[in-house]
Amino acid sequence: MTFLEHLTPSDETGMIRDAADKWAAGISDADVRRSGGFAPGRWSEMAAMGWHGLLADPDHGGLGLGPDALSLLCQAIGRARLPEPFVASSVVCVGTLTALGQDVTALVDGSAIAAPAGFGLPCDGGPSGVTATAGAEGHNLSDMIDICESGPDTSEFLVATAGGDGLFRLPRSTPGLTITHYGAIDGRNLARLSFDGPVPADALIATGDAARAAIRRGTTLAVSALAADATGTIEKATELTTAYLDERSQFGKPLAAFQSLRHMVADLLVELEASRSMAELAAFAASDDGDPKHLHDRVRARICRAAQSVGQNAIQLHGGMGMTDEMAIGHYFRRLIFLQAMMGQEAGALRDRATTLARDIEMQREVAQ
Amino acid sequence: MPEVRDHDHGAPAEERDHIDLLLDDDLRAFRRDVRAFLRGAVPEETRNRIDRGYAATKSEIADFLAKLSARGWTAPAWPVEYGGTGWTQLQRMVFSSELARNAVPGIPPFGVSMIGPVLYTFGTQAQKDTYLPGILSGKDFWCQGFSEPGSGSDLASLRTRAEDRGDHYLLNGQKIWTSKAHYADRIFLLARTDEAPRKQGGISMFVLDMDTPGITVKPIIAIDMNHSLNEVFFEDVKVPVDGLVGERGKGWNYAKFLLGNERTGITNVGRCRRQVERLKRLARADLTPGVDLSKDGAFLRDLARVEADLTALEITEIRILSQGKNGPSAMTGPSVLKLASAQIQQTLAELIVSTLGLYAAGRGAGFVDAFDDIGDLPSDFVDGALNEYLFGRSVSIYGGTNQIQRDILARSALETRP
Ligand SMILES: Cc1cc2nc3c(=O)[nH]c(=O)nc-3n(C[C@H](O)[C@H](O)[C@H](O)COP(=O)(O)OP(=O)(O)OC[C@H]3O[C@@H](n4cnc5c(N)ncnc54)[C@H](O)[C@@H]3O)c2cc1C
Repeated sequence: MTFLEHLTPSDETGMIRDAADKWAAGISDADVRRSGGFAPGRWSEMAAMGWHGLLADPDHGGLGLGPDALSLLCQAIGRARLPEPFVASSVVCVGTLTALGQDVTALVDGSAIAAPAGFGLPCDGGPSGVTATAGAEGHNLSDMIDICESGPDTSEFLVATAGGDGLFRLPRSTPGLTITHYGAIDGRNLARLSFDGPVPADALIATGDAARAAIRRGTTLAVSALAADATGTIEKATELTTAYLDERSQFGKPLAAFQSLRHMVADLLVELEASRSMAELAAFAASDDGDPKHLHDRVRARICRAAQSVGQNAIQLHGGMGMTDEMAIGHYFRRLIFLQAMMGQEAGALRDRATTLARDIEMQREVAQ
Repeated sequence: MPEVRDHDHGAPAEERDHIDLLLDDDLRAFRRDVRAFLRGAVPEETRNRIDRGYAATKSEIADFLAKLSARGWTAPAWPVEYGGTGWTQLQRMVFSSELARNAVPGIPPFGVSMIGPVLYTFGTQAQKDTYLPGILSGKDFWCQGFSEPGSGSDLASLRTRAEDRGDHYLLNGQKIWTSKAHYADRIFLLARTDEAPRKQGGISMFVLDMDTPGITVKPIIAIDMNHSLNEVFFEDVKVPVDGLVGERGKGWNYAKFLLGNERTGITNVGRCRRQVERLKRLARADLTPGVDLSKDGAFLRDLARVEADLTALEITEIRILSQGKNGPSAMTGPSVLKLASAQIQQTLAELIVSTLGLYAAGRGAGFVDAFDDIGDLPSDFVDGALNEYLFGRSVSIYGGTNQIQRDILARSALETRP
């Protein structure tokens, strides 16, 4: 598929977008607040629409669709600021397990939820420090994982060891696995994991290059999904802000009449378009099995900058109302902080890209000599 | 000069702020005095928590104010006859820089910096006698009832009414964003007493006890999930006539006098200095595996840039406060300070959050409890930083938004009116 073809959604992809938009539009801000970090009902509705299996093979009950459909779905999720771990479970874990031919039926039908741990950016932070040592009763896992997107409903963990050398699939009930729950800045559920004692031998589902390739598939899909989620979040934050400026008056006219604020709105729109472009690019670049890092680092950097600038300016444009928990805008602002942290923030993404650029320059220097 | 130690982490502090440019031996001795006093006055645990970005509690503030007042230091800028210290401008700068540097509870501005000066400048003898002692002793907490739901930037459009009923005014209306109203003893407020051709006319200022019948306070939870803001409702509240400040209908003038003080008071350069130090501290905590920020050119450049911005702000503040001949005018000075300082405070908080990396994703009590330490930092270092980042978005909103400050500045330089 060329990029131009990618820009025109197929009928199937278009149907996902329409269904996702319609479904998400029916979820109110109050619904999201009420549900805390996880609404079982919403998770089942997503299952009924086949979305947890969007990326999975049809023989595992999946839809067998690709990153472009995923991107549209994640934009709708961002717009509704849903706290469920869709990207963690249904994108990263399903994507990784599918790449290994593992059974994902329970994840796809919504009866199970998985959490990736130690995958590194951009889905759960830095590289894993977990090491696995083979012993008589299975592998001993060392160290802790500080941030893992999981809550009390998470049924299994996909744990990557240092350097992506091994991938363990651990049920929640695994002896020696301790899970400490805490909350994210945007209200979703996070946990800290620690391991003590051997895990069963059959928990190790991949090693070496196979493990690394599967993890890379998961994180590649994550960039695309997170970029889309952030784009949907930015889009909604922009809409809320423009609506507020039209509605609120000071000095006898709508705030929207003040030129300096109109210019700030123009800048929001520029940021939004940059995000949309990067979300498109991210999805396109994730469409085959290659490693699109050279593009994805730029996607992360640009989307994080847009997230930062739109989030902050949207609050500013709301004045005091922007500082309240009551207004939705603050919740979108915090979701954007969460998404930036997951993507390594602009600084981290630029650092990654700069490392590659430095290597390019060095290589060119060698060629020139 | 004795070695300055960073109270939080035991490392020698390299904090050389603008104050160092000004110090002679006398001021150095004065600073040692102030520092020793502040560290003795506030428990280290409290200072550490404040340093990490949490607001001081009411009782922490009250304890500190009691000690300050025993020393006679609550309101250094007031004229001596009203209880000020008689310090020079430079001593006052040293003092306020030490407050921030030692992370003691902030002196609430509402009494000392806002209504106090209005009362000793425009109030009756009875008002001075009734209210100033409680401000100086730290016994009375005040709040500021200016903003209303329909009147934020356009404050002069306010609609709360105070009707003259002979022996009292009858107050009806609503205020919003009233910081600390939930624990304040008294409020100063603006209300409309008369119809006037200009909306600024007909506004009067009142002082009132918060336990007067007819006042209801409702909390507003902010985006950092904390409670400092409130709505305050007035329903047939009887304000005694001696609660009127100065002349009836002159409230707007007093408010402008007061807001000028507010805008100068919120530069927070001392806290910014601490934030630069905290950023350096964070940089060596190695929160992002494989990244050594002390060798990261991009990080160092960001740090160097904000430090240069801060230095310029510090010098601007000195130029304004020393009332030198070439300082910005009384009209532009406060706006210049407020814009520059909002920018710097927000950039610093943002850099700190960016440096937290992945840990910027977690927040709240559960998060703090889930970790003993993060790297070699206490986990509330991280949580407090997020707190400060979130609430710090309001620095460019309260006390006149950035947009309003820019309007004031542009007005000072341009002949044409929009
Ligand atoms: C944390 C916090 C504490 C506060 N504490 C107090 C307190 O103790 N007592 C009190 O009385 N008030 C307090 N305030 C209120 C504060 O003064 C107001 O929030 C502020 O004046 C802005 O008013 P607003 O919130 O109504 O925003 P609005 O005036 O509605 O402004 C919304 C947006 O429009 C912009 N805007 C408005 N007019 C113009 C214009 N003419 N040109 C260009 N842009 C414009 C603003 O800059 C802002 O971006 C507090 C506010 C906050 C956030």
